[in-house]
Amino acid sequence: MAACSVEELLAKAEQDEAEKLRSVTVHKELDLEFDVGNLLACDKNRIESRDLGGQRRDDFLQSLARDNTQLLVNEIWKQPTERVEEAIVAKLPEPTTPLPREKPPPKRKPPTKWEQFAKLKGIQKKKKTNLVWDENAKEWKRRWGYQRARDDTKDWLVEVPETADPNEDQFAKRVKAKKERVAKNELNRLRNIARAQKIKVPGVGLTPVAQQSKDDLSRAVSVAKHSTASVGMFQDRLPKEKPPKNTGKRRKFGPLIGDFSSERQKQLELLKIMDSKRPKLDITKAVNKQMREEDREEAAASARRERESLEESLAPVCKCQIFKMQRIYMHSHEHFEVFTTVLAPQGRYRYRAGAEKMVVVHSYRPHWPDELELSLGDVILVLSKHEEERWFGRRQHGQQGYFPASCVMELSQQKSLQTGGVGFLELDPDWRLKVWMCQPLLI
Amino acid sequence: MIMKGGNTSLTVTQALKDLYSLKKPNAVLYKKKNITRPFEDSTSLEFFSKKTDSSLFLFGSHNKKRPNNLIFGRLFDFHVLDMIELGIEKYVSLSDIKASKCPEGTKPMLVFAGEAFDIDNEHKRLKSLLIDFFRGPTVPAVRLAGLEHVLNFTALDGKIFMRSYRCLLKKSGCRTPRIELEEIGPSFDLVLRRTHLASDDLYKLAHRQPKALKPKKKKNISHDAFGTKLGRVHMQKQDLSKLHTRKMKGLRKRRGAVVDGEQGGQEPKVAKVES
Repeated sequence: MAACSVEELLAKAEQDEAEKLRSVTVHKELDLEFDVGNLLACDKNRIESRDLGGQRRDDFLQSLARDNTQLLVNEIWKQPTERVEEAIVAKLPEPTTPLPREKPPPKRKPPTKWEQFAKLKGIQKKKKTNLVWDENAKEWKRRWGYQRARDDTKDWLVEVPETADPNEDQFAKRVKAKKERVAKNELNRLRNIARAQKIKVPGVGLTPVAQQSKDDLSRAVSVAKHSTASVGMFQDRLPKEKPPKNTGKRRKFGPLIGDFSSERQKQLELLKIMDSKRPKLDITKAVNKQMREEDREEAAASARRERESLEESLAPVCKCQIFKMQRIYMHSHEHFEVFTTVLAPQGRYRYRAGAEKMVVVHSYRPHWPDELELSLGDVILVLSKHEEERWFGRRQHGQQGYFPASCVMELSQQKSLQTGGVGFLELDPDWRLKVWMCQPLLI
Repeated sequence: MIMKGGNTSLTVTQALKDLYSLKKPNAVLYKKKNITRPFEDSTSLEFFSKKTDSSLFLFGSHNKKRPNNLIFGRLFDFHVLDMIELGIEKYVSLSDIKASKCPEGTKPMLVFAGEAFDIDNEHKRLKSLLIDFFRGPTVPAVRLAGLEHVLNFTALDGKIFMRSYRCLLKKSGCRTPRIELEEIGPSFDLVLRRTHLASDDLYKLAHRQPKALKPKKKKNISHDAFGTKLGRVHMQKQDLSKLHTRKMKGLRKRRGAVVDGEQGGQEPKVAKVES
């Protein structure tokens, strides 16, 4: 009896063992897909609809769930575990199912001033070694920082350069220079921050400097005025205080030679502009140029006209303004055309009522600074005859000044010397009078 | 965020409360009713999401045409991405099932069963939406003893059965425990009604990850056709005549005899690292 009970017991124990081992395994047709990062298991096996009918539904679902959960737990138990404060913790991998984000990914930061500059110049980021060999200490030391390799403030012997003052303390000088560099670096860092956050910061002229020039002081004063303004009211100026000069953008004038790279850059840019397909059009320049040309033509034309009109009338042509629309520029692709209103000769060519053209019959040397030099044969446009003997006129070059009335004679007076015959006075480009006489034409 | 529509029945309110308790620390349940129709006008949803900074919502309502309606939805950049309407056919609430519940805030295990979740497009989106809804915060590690909660979704014939169990880890012969399930929690029999899914490109846009999250490629490691892992080691220039190698006495130069020099050392560039 005992023997068979022992056997029975053994058999039973074996059965239990087998069951235990079986209990963790689940048989499925298709393997499940696991996403351990999300603690997710997906079962793709077919489910018969008859299983889900009726009261058996919940039981079926529970058993299905149990199987799937068992498989999932098996997967999770495969992960590496560690002990954290009396609890065994399994490290989960990254979740693999792609899920949409809540918000779009953040935008890139705009490149900093250095990054823009580096991109422009083509500076690559070169990785520098952390340690540098220091000859004096004969060991590898840091490139910068605490106990760095080449620390010139820690030299025990400093040669006094020949150009230096013998009473100057070279060690103190080095320490001071170091401090200044640190301060400058700090200032630049803060300024970068301010620029990145778009906070206004006072300009260069206000950094503390040993010797402050009058310029710097005046700039500091103007900045202080701005900053102490409140509700639009500025501080009153002191009685003898002058208004600040040069507030605003200042142009930079570099040296003529010496900076070859920047010169090269400028030349290349120029070539690029010239090369580019779109022509650079400066409308004002083009208009002005055209106007000048027009004026010149008008002047020549009017001179010819004047010659002809001398025959008929002595009265000078009244002030006239000829308006014409002139097409001065047409783009090569006919995209746009620029028109300008061209006025008749203005300025020095304008005929003022009462202004007369006179010819110089006697040369004259000026005695006073505001007088005009006259040479024989010149044609002068007399602008005003304020005084009897002293007139104000203009020469062809535009020179203006006073001259005695006796030196000039009206053109008409000359002309009246001729009788009959056609003669005309030609004004050549030099405004010198040439008298042509010719026989009367018999028509 | 969980909110109620213009008219709600008892089942719907109970269901919303239960689901709120499932998602307890990371959800907000609005008490007042909002008379809006998400499928027509989603502005109020977007407004609420901006206020609470939440991108998932659950909207419950009840009309004659659509009784016991639940709308699960998610937003991207505070605009509606997906919305799926499910109708409750049978519902057993938390309080009806007498069993000890697991603590709030446990990360549940999700099990999806049924081929519909992979074949049908709408079911695929529904699956991703449900994962998003119920998965909880992403953690790097999980306490093995704390894996208690299991949510089971089964899809068949346009119907989705949701069950929630508590799993007991029983001793088994080996390291992995045997699982026994005990039903707790709400159980839903849902039927799929209307859907409003995002267009493909919007969906793609929502999945764009920033470059920083991409796994970094390790340099100098490559895999060949057989699956072996190869690595590259970069050496400085070596003076091969001064290398220390194994000295083969037999290969030494003898006096008078001309023998080929010793074999060179290893190749400087590529070393094979089997893994």
